[in-house]
Amino acid sequence: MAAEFGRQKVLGSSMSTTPAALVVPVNELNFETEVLNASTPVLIDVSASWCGPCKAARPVVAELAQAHSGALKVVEIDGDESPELVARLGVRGFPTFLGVLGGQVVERRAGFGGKRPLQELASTLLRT
Amino acid sequence: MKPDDIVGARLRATLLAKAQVRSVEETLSWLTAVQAQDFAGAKWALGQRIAGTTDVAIDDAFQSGAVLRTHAMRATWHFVLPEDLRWVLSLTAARVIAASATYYRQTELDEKLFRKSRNVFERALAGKRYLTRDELAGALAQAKIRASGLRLGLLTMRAELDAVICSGPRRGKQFTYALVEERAPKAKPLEREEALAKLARRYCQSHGPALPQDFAWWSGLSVADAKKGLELAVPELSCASMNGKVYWFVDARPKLRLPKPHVLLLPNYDEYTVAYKDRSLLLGALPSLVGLARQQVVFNHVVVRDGQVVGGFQRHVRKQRVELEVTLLSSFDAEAERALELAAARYAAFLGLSLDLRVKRQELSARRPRRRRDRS
Repeated sequence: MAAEFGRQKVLGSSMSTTPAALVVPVNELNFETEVLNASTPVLIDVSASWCGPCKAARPVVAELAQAHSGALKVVEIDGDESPELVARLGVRGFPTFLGVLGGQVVERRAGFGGKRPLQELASTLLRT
Repeated sequence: MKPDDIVGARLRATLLAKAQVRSVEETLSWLTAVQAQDFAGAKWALGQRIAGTTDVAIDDAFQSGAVLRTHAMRATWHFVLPEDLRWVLSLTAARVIAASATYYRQTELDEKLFRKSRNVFERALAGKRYLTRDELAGALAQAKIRASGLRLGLLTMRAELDAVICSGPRRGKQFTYALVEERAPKAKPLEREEALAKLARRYCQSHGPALPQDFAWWSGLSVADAKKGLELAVPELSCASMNGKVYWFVDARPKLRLPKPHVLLLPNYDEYTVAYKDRSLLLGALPSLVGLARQQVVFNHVVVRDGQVVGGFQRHVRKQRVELEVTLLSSFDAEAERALELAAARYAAFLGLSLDLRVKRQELSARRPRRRRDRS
């Protein structure tokens, strides 16, 4: 019990500051609010828990969320949890990164590709 | 992903969605290796993917050394590009050599003899002297190395696996051997991890979506090494799942639209059929084929419709014409028949011959064939 309490405490103190915490989980229910009606550009990371390339991309996605906090909203869709949403977005494989502006998908990148392509995608969204 | 998505993506990845204007080198570079123990079939495997090319053009690429043939994977001949030969063999050769240990023992071959024969090959072939296997046997005999039949085959194969020799130009219909350092002077080895990542990425781009076990089967790597390769190539790869299995691929856009019906006449050992451990996605149209027959159907020339194996064919090349005897194991409507005729016409045009096409239909027995009891 003490250990559990201790863990909660650690999580509680770090959750508010880690870059990963800035990535907003999105599903069928909150897609419209979080993505379509967002006041800033949105970078969507469509991924799955079993996907190796998605795991490799996660720290970079979190870094972007922190670096552009307030200017770029970074969200994550779990492909297993929201298969219909994923199909609607035309995603065939994981990870896929989508750039959304004003409720429209304006950028699309299939596969991780490393840090630079994601930085470029974020920059493009912020410039537009 | 659904089975149709995977089949469609594989047709695109293996360059079979549509033959396009591309060079032999581009095609082979994309695929990395094309199984080629049936030389004529392997030429059609390349030619099928290149709009407007001919058997003669592929022959020319082979004669010039732009395309080489060597034991690159799975203890069988493959076409490879000269620049890919060394780094591919650096990954694949060791397991083929290990798997050949029994044959080496049976034929009384050991490392000392391999080194000795290697020196013989280097001396005999130096200066771009291209020699047939029998001529190499003569050179070995002069060095007092017994070499005929299986023993000779193992000696030459081992020299190929050690990247000492590879194909030379054909002399008439006879194959010759050449020195790798002369035939592929620019072939460079890579660091193991770099090579593993490269092979994994190449496989996924040209065969995906595929399972790690498929990659292991195709390359001859252990499943552990295949998975390591995929991990190393992770930034360039995508994943999708079906029935709890994770498929790897390179998600390249734009997506080429597949015509329907899409009919192909594929040679035996085509990359589309042979390069996967799990071939079940290709055989859905043949539910009554069971057991070994189901596994082995892809080792024949096959008719593929919309990504599914639906029949086989035999080719008989005559002086002026090619006879194609097609056996269909599922029904074809008029549109599909037309697509089949076009595919046959493409093959004949590739060979530069007129076409004699015969099509028959055969019902498959749903029963497993009885095993004969040995009464001896």
